[in-house]
Amino acid sequence: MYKLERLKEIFIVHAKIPFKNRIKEEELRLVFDPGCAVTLVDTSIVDLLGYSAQIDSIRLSHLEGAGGRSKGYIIEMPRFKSLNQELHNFEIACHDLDSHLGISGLLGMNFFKHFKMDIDFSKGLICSIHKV
Amino acid sequence: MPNKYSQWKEIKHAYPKQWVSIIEPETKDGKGVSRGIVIAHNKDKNKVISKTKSLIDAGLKFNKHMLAYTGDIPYIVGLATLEIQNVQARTS
Repeated sequence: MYKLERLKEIFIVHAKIPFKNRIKEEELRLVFDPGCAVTLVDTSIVDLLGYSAQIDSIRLSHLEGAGGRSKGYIIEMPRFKSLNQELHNFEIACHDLDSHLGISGLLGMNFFKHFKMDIDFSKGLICSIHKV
Repeated sequence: MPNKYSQWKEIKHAYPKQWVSIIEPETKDGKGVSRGIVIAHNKDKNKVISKTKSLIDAGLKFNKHMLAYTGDIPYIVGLATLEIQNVQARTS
């Protein structure tokens, strides 16, 4: 079982990604968002961990929303942990997020698609989660 | 190396509506951060990241780091599109 953190009608989950070529980890606060196709992390955090668009990006990305259009990039994380699960070579999209959002990014469907979950949204509880 | 752990309630009270850089954060399912060691704080996220980077470059030792916001988050609704394109192969 995993208890989700509820804030303003959304759920926040924690995820861990490694600093580049190091064992130390960054703990991220992400919005639980199956409506988002790709997991998205704030570029400034990814930069802090030692990754860069010039060296580590495998694709470029353009995010277009109400706030306009922003350029970003996709990188592959050697390991990505969330909800007590771990994935390897996991792709995240890196984009600048407004400071006032107060979050590190969004946990999207490219993570959730690997799992079978039983979720009680009324209690904010993931009753079971299994890798498929 | 800084070694004073603070409870998340104390951190929120000391640095309201700020971004805080925390090493060795301890978290609880469903509750978020419970405590950690604050190494930088500011309303400007980029200043906190810059300060954190300088401390890491200076040899700050830690196992886990976290950037957290002490204020309320706004109502977030997601309506955006993401267009992805390949990058040209790099020569190493």
